[in-house]
Amino acid sequence: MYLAPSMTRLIEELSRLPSIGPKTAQRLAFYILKTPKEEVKRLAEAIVEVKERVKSCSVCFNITEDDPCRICQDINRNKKLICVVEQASDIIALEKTREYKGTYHVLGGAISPLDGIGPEQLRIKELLSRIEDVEEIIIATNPNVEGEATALYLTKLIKPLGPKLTRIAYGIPVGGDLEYADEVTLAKALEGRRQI
Amino acid sequence: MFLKEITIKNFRNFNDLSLNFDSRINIFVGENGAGKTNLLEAIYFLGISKSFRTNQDKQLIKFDEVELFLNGKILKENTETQINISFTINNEASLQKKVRVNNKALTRIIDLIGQLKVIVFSPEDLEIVKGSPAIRRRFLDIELSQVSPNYLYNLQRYLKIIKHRNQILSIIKRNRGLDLRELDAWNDQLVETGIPIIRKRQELLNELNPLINEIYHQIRGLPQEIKINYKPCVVEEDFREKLEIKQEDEIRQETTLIGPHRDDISFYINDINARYFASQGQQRTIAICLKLAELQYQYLQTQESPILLLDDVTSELDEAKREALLNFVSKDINKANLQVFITTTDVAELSPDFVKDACIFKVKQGEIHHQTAKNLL
Repeated sequence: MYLAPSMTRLIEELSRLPSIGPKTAQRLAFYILKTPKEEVKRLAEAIVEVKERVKSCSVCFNITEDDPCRICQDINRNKKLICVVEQASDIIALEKTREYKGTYHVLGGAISPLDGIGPEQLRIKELLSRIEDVEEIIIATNPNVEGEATALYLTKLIKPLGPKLTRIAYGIPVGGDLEYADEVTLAKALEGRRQI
Repeated sequence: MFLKEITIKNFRNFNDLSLNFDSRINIFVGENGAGKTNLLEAIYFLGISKSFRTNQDKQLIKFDEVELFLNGKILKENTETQINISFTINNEASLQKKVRVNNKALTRIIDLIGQLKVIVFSPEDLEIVKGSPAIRRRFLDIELSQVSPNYLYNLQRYLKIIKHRNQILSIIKRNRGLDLRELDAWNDQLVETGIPIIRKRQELLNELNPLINEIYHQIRGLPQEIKINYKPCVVEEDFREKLEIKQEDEIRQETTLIGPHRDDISFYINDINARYFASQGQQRTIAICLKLAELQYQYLQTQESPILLLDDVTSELDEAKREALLNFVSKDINKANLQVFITTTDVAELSPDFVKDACIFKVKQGEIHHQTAKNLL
């Protein structure tokens, strides 16, 4: 089958993207071909611009165009409170709550020996250098075994240094009915119950 | 709970098959090699998404075919649940199981286990008494997973933790003087996840002991005492300490030596270890009593009888024991709405009382001829 080489190339490049298979890549390529040139240019520029402009914040390692990032610069933010997350995308989720007024620290992953990720591959040293004067550190790594190992490891490092350490709770989603929660989630919620 | 209907495509020696079952007794009759056990295997697979005969799912696909498909309809207190499992062999030889319950794709196996509870008794069960500890742990795990989703959750996490931890141990071995606090973090999780597994196993054996004794007396009619002992690798209180004591050995061997993944159980008849000193006949009787005790345990825990799959018991047990077993099962069929699937080469080997209300399927070379008892007798 003959296809213009530049089309083949575009399909190949697109199919490298996560969750894009060869068929979707082909559909996207044909869509791009039909799209007006200015629109395609805007897309291409946006892709290049994001690579050129976006960097990680030298304080918290959130993705940002300004360094330090807006959150770290914000004088209304409580600098004595740090929430530790695995990925910058986790910050977006937490920011959507509009409830959290502290700062963040992005580790860049979780401890996972099977994937060759140890504490040295994460931004743990950078976290430790920030904790002078900090009152509380909230560990918000994922509840899977890797996130849990990271939380436990951080506990061992930070506890002797003084600040209060907390771990986010997990359990039934708010707005969900108890009867629809799966057994495992409910069992965890029971384990993590608190006195009222 | 009972399995009302099954549809099978390219499973073992079956091409394309759809069967409706009786809510009580179903008998598969046929020569050796006709595919009777394959049908039990298909039913089991719908419940557990694993086979009781092989760990390699690939072997389940019919020769020269690439896609396997199973569909089951389960009736539970007038509510129908549909389970659907399929997989395809693709070029990379990896195989992606797709599981759907009521047309909703599942991402976690936890959400499947317990929808269709199954217990199988097959000739290989002798290995639970006779074989290696891994076979006995598998028995405990499958049993507990069906009654406790939380157990399965902990078990899956525990096995993942072991893998990570073993990796850490070999990293430390190659690079002595490394920060041991990371290992310590994995130790915390190992203990925290391991303890509920130990507790649940102990709890199960406490419950099974009186049950298996009563069943053994009924089947054997002998005043013998039967006992299942839990032999945990480590008890809750010593877990931490033992990890510390064994740390050097663990690093040297690059593997986790302490924890419930090294547990065992053993069976005793009058205080004699059945694994080493009982006759094959006695071992077989223990295995079947264990399965019946499991059945009762599940009923007591969930107020619901699992489906009982009896593979080739007629050739496994002598006449008196066979009779006692079928009597026992008959009682449960009436009392606890038990559904039974049984394979045999000859219906005459089953008691007439048992056969008379059964739904009988003749299995021949991957094909089924449906027959009821009446036109057979």
